[in-house]
Amino acid sequence: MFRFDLKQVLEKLVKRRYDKSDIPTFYTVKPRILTELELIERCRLLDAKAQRTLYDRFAPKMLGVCRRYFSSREDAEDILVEAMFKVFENINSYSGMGSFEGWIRRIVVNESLMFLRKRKMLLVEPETVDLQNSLTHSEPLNIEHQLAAQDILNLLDRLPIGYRTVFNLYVIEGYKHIEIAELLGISINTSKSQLILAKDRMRKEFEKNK
Amino acid sequence: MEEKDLFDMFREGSESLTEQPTNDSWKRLERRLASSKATKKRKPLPLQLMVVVAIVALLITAGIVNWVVIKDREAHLKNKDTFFGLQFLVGKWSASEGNVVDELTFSTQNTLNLPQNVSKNAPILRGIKTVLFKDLPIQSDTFLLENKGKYTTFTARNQVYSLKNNSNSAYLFVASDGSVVRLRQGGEGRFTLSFGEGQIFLYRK
Repeated sequence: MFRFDLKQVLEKLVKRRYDKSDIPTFYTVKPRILTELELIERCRLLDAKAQRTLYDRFAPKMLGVCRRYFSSREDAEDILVEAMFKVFENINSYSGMGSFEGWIRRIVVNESLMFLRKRKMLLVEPETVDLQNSLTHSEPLNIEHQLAAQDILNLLDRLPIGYRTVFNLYVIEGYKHIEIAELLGISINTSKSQLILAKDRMRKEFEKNK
Repeated sequence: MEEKDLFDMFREGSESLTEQPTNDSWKRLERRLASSKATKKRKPLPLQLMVVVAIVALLITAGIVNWVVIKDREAHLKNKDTFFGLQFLVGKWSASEGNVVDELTFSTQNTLNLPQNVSKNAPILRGIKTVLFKDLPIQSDTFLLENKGKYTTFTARNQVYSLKNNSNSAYLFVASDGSVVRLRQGGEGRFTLSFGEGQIFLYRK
């Protein structure tokens, strides 16, 4: 005999209504990873979430850039915040030509140099170096493995700030001596000698810790 | 075994150099961005509002200019030696046929040849100091005052008279000797402004 149980029917309906396994998979919305261009566009519209995503995507690498210039992590983070703020403020001026990461990186490097200049940390004392001899007698190192990130920082931390800055600009950022001289307000020869001294110092340190 | 220069080693290694910033860094950046966003979101005033503001500013300016001009005129009237004891008597006379004592019809006189009598039969007004009249109601269609840039004067005797005309306002001045009254249309600046042809209704006080 059929017995109509309203309570049972309702319970079934409710259960069905809220049973997620019943929902077809195409109803579920998976968060899509935004492309770099989409992120930039949203940041231009002052979308806070996009700004956070962009920050999360680039901040670790850019902090690494800052850390190469500053042994103090606090200083490096200060520079990072300032530089990323400028990135968001000037994002409309990014034309789309060239890599976006490169654009951010330039801002970070400029900010680092500005910080060094403000604190007058770039007052490098020119040391006399026989440029001719040093440049010709630069022997390659025998290295079987890549340097770990921490090794790089350890080596950089042992350099005076002037050596370190010239070294970073020349070796990593790829600036020429004439550009470095302009950026730091020093002579080209000072830039060259700073680089040689930095390299010698690092070589010694590297050999010592080998 | 690969031979590498120190520079190459650094270039390769620097790529792996990443550090996770603290959450505090993001919070600081977020605060700065929020304050910057707030200032950016202050949109410029919409066009309609700017138009309204411009109109209001214009009206205020016009009001101020008008006020200054009136003040200046009053001061000018007070300080003018030729005309003395001027008072506004607006509304003290009501125009009705009953108190019309005289009617002067005058015609245009020559320019810059002041003062001149308009009507030889008009009563002579002597020693009257208060003779400025303004904004009295227009009573008749028959009179006509046309400003033709010419001067005219009239004289009156022993009575205070009010003036009516069909312009916005009119002034009647007593000359410094108290014997000659000069008429001019009000609100148009200088005392030398004059009437051409017209009729003047004189009312007893």
